[in-house]
Amino acid sequence: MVTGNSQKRLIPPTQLRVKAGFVVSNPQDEDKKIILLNEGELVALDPKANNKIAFRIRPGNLVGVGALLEREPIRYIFQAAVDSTITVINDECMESELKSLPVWLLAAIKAISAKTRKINESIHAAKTDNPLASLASFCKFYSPKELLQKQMLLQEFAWLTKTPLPTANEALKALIRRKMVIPQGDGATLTIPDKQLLEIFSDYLKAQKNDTPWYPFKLTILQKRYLVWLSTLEPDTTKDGSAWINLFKEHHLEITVSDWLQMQQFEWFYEKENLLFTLNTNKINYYLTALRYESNIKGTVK
Amino acid sequence: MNLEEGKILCLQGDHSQSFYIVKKGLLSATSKDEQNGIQIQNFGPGSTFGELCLIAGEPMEYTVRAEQESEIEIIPQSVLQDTMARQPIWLKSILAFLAQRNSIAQENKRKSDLITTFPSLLFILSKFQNKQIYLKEIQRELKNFSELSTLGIYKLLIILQDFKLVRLLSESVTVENKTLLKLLYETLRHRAIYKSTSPNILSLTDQAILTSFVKAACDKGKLQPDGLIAINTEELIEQTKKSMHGMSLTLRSLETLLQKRLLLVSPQTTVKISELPGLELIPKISADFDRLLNLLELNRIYPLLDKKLISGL
Repeated sequence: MVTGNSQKRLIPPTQLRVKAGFVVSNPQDEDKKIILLNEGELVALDPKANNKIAFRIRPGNLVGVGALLEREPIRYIFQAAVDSTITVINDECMESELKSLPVWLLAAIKAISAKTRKINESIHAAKTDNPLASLASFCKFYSPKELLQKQMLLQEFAWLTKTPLPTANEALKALIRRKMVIPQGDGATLTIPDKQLLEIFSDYLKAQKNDTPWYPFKLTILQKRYLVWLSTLEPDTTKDGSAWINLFKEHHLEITVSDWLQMQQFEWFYEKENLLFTLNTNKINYYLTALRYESNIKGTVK
Repeated sequence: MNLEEGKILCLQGDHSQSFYIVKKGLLSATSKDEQNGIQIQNFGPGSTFGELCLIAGEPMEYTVRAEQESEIEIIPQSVLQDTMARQPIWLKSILAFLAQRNSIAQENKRKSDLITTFPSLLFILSKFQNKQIYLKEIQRELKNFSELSTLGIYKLLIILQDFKLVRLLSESVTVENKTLLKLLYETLRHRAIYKSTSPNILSLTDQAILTSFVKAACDKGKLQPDGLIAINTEELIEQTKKSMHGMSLTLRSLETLLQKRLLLVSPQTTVKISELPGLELIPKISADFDRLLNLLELNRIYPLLDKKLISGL
């Protein structure tokens, strides 16, 4: 079992009796300290609100833990509301105490502090780790007929996702470069020419990020021929699997059962009722658009 | 202790009150969080976990399984108690404080995630063409704006259902009032971007006058060729007097509503509001009835929203 080393010299905390009105801790104090209130009452005064009382501290409570252990800024002035007894744990005292602790307890304390810090940071962090995909998804909700105010669009996106404005602006530039968003006039307004293209782009980016296959750019020549041919059919064409395979063959398109199953994986068909398959025209258009705008999506457009 | 590959060390929710230090091997930890979904992480040599179980007595955050044969040191509660007995009393207070601070941070994060995702949900719901939207679709779209779990989204949808803006079905959501959803979104957007109250939020007097208009229009309103509902000005004056404890309606008290074009002088005139004759000389007042109803409903739910988002969840 890991135990603490009690041989190390401990610096004891300081016990103080303070009069009402005495300031025990101030945001300007250079020496950070933890104050444990033993008896009496402290008040927290908010310097940003004309030293208005923000809250009261009762015996047994502590202040300054974040400042001493995490080097967090102190927001309040702590003042004795009545004659009080306090224990002051300063840097040296805390350090000597922490040094005397078993390693596992020190690790546990550090882990809790790190966890709390991480949670607090995540509250203020951007809610998307892929601003480009996120902005593309956001823009796709706007109609191609709408004339969008660039600054307003950025502010709205930044508000929804907590993305910093400069990051949002860079993402917008990337969409403009890909011709997915078109600046109008002096560039203060924008239009979205094709909503579906933005959706496709967002899906493509997510697949890239998650390292998952993105089928539209993985089609073989034969699969591309299937796709183009399927796009010429009546949207509500419904047949069972073997009838579909025969139809492909009748149109001189070689096909195996495996090819047929692969097309279902691409979601080019959906099962309408028991074993009857109908063309999924939305998905077929999705694939065609992706292929048509491959260079825009991959960012190689001139 | 040694743990064979594939063996489970602890389950999420266990009250083990122990702290774990990985000495050798590799462990995987899976946590199923109601708000953040399933999360997976690995613990290799030198990793520690269970600190809040030991110090705050919280249930175990993860289900931990050995991916390889592993050696783990377990610090049980009894060892912590023995150690603390040899430490100054204030150290115990500091530990309790750190644990409490963590718990407050977790709660703040939970609330913040819900509050900050709420506008995104309104945005998505108001932009969908269809009235009925699958929950999966909402979740898929919302993932582009937030990492809130299905349960978190469900909680937000319940708030919208309480306000009669949507109706929840087992796998989908029916949007009951898209106009009001849009109005609510615009109101929140205005507050966030311009740091001021949206013009959609009306003073209590303006709300009372509009409510009087609605009441009078229900009884005696006449549909105009332009689609607006008109009432005789005397009827509005009378209704306002009844609803507002004898308040006399004047042109001045109608000024904001006329400026915002929520109420219109009928027949319409190009004369400035300040140059209009006395209210008694205006024959009729008209308004877009549906717009007024939505605006009044917005003003009813808006003050309840923050409270509902913070405490109602």
